[in-house]
Amino acid sequence: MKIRKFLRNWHRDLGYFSVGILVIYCISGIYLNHRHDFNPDYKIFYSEFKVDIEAKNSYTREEISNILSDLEREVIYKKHYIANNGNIKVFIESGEVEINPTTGEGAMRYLQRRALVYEMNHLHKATIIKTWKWISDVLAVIILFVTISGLFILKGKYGLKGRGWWVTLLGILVPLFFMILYI
Amino acid sequence: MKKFAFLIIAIVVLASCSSQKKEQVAEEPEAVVYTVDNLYENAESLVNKEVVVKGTVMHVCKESGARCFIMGSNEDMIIRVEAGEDIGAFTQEQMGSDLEITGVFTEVTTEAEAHNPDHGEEQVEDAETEAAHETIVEAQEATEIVYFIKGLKAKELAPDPQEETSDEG
Repeated sequence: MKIRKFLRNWHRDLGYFSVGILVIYCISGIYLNHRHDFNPDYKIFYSEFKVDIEAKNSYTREEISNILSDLEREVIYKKHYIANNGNIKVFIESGEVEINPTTGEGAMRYLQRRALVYEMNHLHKATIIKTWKWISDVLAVIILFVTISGLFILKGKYGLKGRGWWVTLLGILVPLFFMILYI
Repeated sequence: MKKFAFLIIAIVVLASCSSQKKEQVAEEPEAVVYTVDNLYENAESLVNKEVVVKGTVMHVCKESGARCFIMGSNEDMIIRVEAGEDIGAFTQEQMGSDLEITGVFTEVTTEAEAHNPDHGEEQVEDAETEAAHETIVEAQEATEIVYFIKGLKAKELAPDPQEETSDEG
């Protein structure tokens, strides 16, 4: 039974090793699953306001900065321009503001990164350096080994020849059911 | 166990060193930097060539940051930049920043290349996003040929102090 001992030892060590990446994949996986319900990377704060402003063809940075300084949230001006629809479009650090110079009505969209989740999502999507793609491939192979080796560690009625088989089958049937029905 | 830990650390260090080395090699002599307007003026001669273009990021794809739209002198001068594997992703914080993009100037010839933000996977969650999508679609519809850039490298430029004191719009 050397093979079972080999599997147990490597399953144990690589299992410990996989904890970090599995936690990342699971947490970010939940957020990414709900990408149509909310933005998985950012919390978005949306607010409307009204300002006194004179409608004209151009505005200086100072004029726009003065308007921004009256807003509830403290924001940092980046750049502005007059959009095709005549509104003033202002880019701020982590967001944007749009002001209708005729009515004085404005709206602000302010973004705040979801701490840790933002980074986890990028690791999950492999949208960082190319090297990460290969590292995450290796980690995926390790997780695959931990998963497969786990099937063959236990002997007896709780092993793959007994209860293990039925529980494994159940776990396979859940995604298989949705695959057959909806794909 | 120590050997195992040492092996893993060595692999990670080697992998990160090799990627840094590659980034250093990527230093190239200065190329002609086009504005978005210049790029469209010279579109025919630049198509399928590697170009360097600078402009203001006016929209970033919300779901993945896989693409951004940079603007030239006005909202009719917009070009899409695909981050691809080399850039990875753009961030929402880059909106309003000036970027210098190195990439291949490409003509849209297939449906797959024609990313239309109104019919794509990107969700519309607010009026600003919807307005940005409309602007992009209008700009694309106004041109006979639609181009985009397959991004290879992106560099964020420091704000231009001259621009900060001048009138805009």
